[in-house]
Amino acid sequence: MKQVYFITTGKDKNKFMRFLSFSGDTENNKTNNLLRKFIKLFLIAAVMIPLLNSCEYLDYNELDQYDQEDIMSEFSRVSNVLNHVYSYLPADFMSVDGAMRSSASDDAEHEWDLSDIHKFNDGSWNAIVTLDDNWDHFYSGIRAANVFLTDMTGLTFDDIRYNDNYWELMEEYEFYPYEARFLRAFYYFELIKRYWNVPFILTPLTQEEANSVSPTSFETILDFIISECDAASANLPESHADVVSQDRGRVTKGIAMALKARALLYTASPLHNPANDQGKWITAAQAAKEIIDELGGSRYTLSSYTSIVNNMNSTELIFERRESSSREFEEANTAVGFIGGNTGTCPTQNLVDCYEMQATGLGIDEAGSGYDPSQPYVGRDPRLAATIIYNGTTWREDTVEIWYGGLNAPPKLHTTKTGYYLRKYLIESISLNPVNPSTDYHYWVIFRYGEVLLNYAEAMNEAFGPEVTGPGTLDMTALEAVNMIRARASMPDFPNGMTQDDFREKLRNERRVELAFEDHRFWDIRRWKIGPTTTDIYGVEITKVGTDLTYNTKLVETRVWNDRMYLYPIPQTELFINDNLVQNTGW
Amino acid sequence: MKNKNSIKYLFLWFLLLLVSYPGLAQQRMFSGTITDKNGNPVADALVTVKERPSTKVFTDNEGRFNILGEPGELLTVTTNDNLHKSLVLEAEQIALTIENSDELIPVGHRLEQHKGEITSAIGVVRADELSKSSVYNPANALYGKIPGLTVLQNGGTSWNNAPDLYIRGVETFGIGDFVNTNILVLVDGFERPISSLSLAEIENVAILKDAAALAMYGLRGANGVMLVTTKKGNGQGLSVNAGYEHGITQAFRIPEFLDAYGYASALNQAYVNDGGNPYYSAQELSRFQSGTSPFLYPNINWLDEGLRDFGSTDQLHISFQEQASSVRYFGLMNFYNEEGLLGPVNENEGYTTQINNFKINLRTNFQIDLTRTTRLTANIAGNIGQGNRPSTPNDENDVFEALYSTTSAAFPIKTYNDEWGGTTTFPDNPMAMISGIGYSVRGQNELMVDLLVEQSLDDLVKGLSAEAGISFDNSYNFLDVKNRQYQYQELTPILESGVIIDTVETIYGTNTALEFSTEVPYQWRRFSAVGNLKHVKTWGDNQLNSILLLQSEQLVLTGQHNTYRHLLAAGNFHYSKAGKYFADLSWSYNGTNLLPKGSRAGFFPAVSVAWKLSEEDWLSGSSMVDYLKLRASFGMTGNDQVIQNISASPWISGSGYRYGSNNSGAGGYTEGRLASSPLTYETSYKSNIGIDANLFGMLDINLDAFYNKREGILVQTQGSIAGVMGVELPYASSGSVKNMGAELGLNLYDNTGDLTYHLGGYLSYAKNEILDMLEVYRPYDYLKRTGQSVHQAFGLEAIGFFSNESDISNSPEHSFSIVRPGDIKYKDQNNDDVINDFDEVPIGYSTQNPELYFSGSVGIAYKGLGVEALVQGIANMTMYLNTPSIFWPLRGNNNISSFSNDAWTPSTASTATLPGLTLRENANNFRPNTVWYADASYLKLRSVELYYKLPNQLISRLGLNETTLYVRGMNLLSFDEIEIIDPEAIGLVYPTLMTFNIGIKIGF
Repeated sequence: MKQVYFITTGKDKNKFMRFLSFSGDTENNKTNNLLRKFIKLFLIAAVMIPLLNSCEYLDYNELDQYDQEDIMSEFSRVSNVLNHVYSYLPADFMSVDGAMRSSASDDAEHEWDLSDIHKFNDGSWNAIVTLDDNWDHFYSGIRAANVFLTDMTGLTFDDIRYNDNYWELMEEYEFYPYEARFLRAFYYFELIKRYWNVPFILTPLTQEEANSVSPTSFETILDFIISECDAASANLPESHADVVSQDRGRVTKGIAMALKARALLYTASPLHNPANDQGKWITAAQAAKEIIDELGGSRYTLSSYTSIVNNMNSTELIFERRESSSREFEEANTAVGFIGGNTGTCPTQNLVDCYEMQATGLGIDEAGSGYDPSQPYVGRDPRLAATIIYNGTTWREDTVEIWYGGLNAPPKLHTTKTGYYLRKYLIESISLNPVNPSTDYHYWVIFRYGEVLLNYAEAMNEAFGPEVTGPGTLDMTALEAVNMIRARASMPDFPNGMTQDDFREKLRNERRVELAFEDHRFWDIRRWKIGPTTTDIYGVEITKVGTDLTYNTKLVETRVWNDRMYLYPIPQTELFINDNLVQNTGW
Repeated sequence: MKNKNSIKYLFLWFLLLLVSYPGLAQQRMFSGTITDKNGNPVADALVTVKERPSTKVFTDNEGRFNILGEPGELLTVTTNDNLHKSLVLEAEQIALTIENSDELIPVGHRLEQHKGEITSAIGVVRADELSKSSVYNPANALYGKIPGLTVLQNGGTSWNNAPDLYIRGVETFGIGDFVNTNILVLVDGFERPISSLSLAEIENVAILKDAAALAMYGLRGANGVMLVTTKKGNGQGLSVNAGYEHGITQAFRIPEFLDAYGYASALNQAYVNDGGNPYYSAQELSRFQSGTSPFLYPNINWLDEGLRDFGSTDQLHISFQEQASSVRYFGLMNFYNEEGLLGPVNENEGYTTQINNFKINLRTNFQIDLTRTTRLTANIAGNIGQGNRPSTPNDENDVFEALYSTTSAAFPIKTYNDEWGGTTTFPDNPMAMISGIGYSVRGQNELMVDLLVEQSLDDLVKGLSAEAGISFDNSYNFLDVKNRQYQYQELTPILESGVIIDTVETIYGTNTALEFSTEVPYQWRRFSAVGNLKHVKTWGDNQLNSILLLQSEQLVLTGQHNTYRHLLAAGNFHYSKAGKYFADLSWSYNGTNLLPKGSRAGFFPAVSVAWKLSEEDWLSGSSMVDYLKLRASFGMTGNDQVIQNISASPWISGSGYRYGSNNSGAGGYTEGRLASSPLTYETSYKSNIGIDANLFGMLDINLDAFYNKREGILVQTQGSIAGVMGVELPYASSGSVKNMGAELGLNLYDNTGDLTYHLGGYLSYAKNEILDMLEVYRPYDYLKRTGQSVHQAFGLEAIGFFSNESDISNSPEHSFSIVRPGDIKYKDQNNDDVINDFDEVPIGYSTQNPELYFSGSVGIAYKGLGVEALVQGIANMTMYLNTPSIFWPLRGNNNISSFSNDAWTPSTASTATLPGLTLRENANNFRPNTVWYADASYLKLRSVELYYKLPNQLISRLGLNETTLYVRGMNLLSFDEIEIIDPEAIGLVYPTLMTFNIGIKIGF
């Protein structure tokens, strides 16, 4: 048999080609044929099999992220995990859509109508249109703490054991769990004061668990907060400045004690103590007194009123939220009329009226107070000038003009609604001039010694009356406590012989003045259950004829109050996913 | 790998197909005639015997051939139209009829099937149809050419503009900006951009639409696959074709902006609407109008100044090809040059700043029969491109953004000091951007190589063959920047009682020399290896074609997380009985490195059947039905385009805190997004039924209907995981979308004597619906995205404009921003007396792709003279007219176009269609609402061509084969509601072009 298999022009055929073409020049050699069949199949397999054998081929990736093991292997990373837990600490600089939470109390009105803050005041907030919705925020802080406490405590970091500073770092590391536990407790307090009964989570949850948790009672969580504060205060130093890292700003003994005092005061208050259980007030007084006895006068002393906020060196400061250097708060709150000013928080006449006359210690509407309506800002409690900018205040070398037609007043658009601008927390030295703008650090006061004294005074008055000492350590009266605050403010003492009710009223006024714009009034209104009395918001209208100024009080806003607002609604998005949650009454 | 075993079994199955060794017999001469359906002879068809591929003969003009063979061997006939038919040699006289259903259609993985046998849904367009377009990027020749393929034009220069391509609409959605709707484009079986080719080298483009066609593409097939096949050598002897075309380009539409007086008046109106006083005095207005102070009160039509009326294109290609005895080759060179629309580009010595695009495409495709049974395929293609443009920061569109956004009254082109005009508000002088900032050259070099060896194993096992090959591509892009800065001068008049008493001149910036820099913005490399075994077995009137193939692919792009790997095993059994009944079983097992171990690979099977009724006795005699086939298919395919690196929970840098007496910052670490697990590919279940028919030999009908359901779409989980979780939530593969629709194709054609004509149309409909997306809680049903189309437009329903303050106070509170008379008034959908996000309702249709896509074509020829036309349109799509300057006027120091002529003013309140002009941010007006949502429908005249084929008697004397002269217009007309600008490109970009071409095609 003769066949022409090759049509290529050529000459000598490559042997391999001849082989592939199966040219069959050895006829009837079946063995050979079989062998060739086999070899051919082998060749095919040689092409195909390697492709299959390469599962590793698909393992290729360029992942370059840390996993939890990587984090736990180095001290500095673990330390950074705790830093992140701190980052959830709140500040009320511009916490609700650019506004201060104070503008949802009768202390202030926010200038910009479109800010969500007004929904607190017009009643248009609800479980769908939520406000100050920190549910996710604080649960994120709690998870960060839970992860830290579950996995990142008790590590030994053996690979740095022979570093010079190993034992110093370990000493610091000993504190970490207590710092994390305190922060978690603090975040729980932020949650329960808003939402009351909430899911109580102490471990990192799985998705299934997160979707089916049930709420735990306010009381149970509060007990937990107290016990965590006790543990932290027993194990943390009075100041980290005395210890290795000199990291001021970390959680200390005094901070834990201050949270305990505040938490117990809230629990004893009417909102959470409807039966007015005296025992709760006594416990609250004891917690405050512990700080006064252990740290008051030594670690913490009352400093000048004007040097408390934005000052991390204040002797009165117990705990602050530290911020990076900025000028947003100044831009948002400086009066329109000054360069870079946008007007934000406008203190109310309601608040201004709370400042007593310095000479007499009497309220402006009390007989013999010495108040002159034609010079309303003269002779007032010095804390007024430290807190509020009113007509005639000197601000950055300029005089503030709030009379109609003045530099910082109507009819100019977006000047104050109430006749006042905010002073407290504004750093006067920050330049808003676009040519040479500057920034500075802000420190939001979370706890300070002044509040501890006021907490003590309030608890003592409720438990025993103004001038009665209590058993055991409660050897200071409410009056003595509040007079320390008064003395620091250069104000006359509270008079002796007040009734418990009169003292309560005057103390509440004192607390409002002393702690103005430090995010207390909003919560005090709730725990005292005085919402309905805070709906009429007043301002001042100043007219100038020649050099004569006339001051007329005007109603700025009538707000909506509903008792359901004592607590926040639980976000509907959360109820939608987890039907074990229970909405608060009225929402 | 667990499934290795199953693949081994398949391999064994192939071994079981071993059948007896074929017998040998004596060679004889066979002769025959090949005719088409109408009895006309088919000339120049290749006739060969499969067992002896070197024996190649071609039919003569009467369709006759003679060939040596042995009884029992397989005679195959291939025409130049890619019609293909086989016949077992028996009688020595052969009469073969070859018809349209004998066309070979690409079905994926470089396989072809006879049209009449195909059981899946595949659409094809061939070179002769594509060549009716004059384009740079071949994708732009696909408008309305294939039913089921949506091609949406984009603005930008030819270099940058690639149309959006969708096959059967979309049936998935990405998260945020992540796009997962890309279709898979393959050139000669390997993934490559179609833009790397020139139109002249493309033989056909096919799209795979249903599961039967896509199953073998595993987890890359769900969005559809486009197969581009390049030309191979055809015909007897060397044939050379050349074509040259010169084109004149013109912007399809340029928006009309107001002149300086119009702008100044509009600005005054805006100031008044905002509650202020007019900005310009009446005196100043009149200065703009009269042009008496051209430097201080200029009136510049920037588009007139910056653009010229026409650009140009030149395109030349030369190709040569042959199907010789042992070598089949196709070679091509294609030159393209485009000069853009910029006007003053020769202001600088030594260089031009014209937008320019020059590119050479090269290709050689070889098929070499190394031995009787061994064939080598070597396709080598590449392109070298280079382009010029002003040295703007990003791309050419920067110039157009400046041209569109700079107002007529902004500043003079140059001041009286011969400095560029400019102000601090408008620092970009459009003319300076064209000729004052140097130039950039960008280039691209690409090389694409395929090498494949096919070995027939007939001698070993009858009908068996094997193939193995590799492909390697790379693309390198560079950008050479020669940039300089320019200084500009602001002129500010000093007025006293309206009279110009002085002018303040302020210089900004400095003139610098050209500064040089070079970068490589991106590059990519691809490598693939393939291998397959094919087997054909015939018994009685049964035939079974089987294939098993393996493929590995790697694509590496610039940067990290840009390496994509795939491994694929796939197979197909195609069974036919008596030429009437067909069934396919396709499958693939496909894995990717983009997904985590354990869920990175999947099995995708599909079955399909077809019944060719026209072969049945009771229909074959019908004079009405020439061809009729029913098809049905069902199966699965996947999509692995998912966000990368989300299958593990990383720890990431988070907020830290500050400590110490210096308040120094300390870093933070936090858990990142939780692991999205199980993370896997999308699975699409696709079903399809179809009819293919030909009636009276002159009407092709193609009808397909489909119902698809996509599952496993990656979605966010905020709607299903509680916030108490306290960490960034994972994504979940639990979204699903259904997608249904139909395609209809009709084509009527006939010839009577010297007159031939065709008239046809395609209609594609695809409607999707989100079935599940773990949607977040929404308080009202009408707010829900679930149940709507993907990318359904949502917005507020405008019910007019506020007429006065009392209208405002009597209306629900509009909470987005302070409203004034002239602002948009909205319907309070939930009657809560507040207009907010909860009042948004679905408006119109999807903003991503149209539900309806249609086209119509017509052609008439008498003797050599003919005319061709194509119209194409879309419907049921919504667009958001939010382009600043063109649609959104003034605000943010933008320009104002004639679109705003109907803006509200107190006196036109009753007829206004747009809100009052304003300079405020005005979140109330400028947000998605019925004022800015428009119907995106259009009907465009895509191409018209008049051609003349020179008579054969004339050209044969010149030694030419076939010569055609033509004039052609592209994108000539559009009927739409947008009018001011091309509805397909509403951005501040290089405009879409209308082109007029004159060309010649020569064959010899």
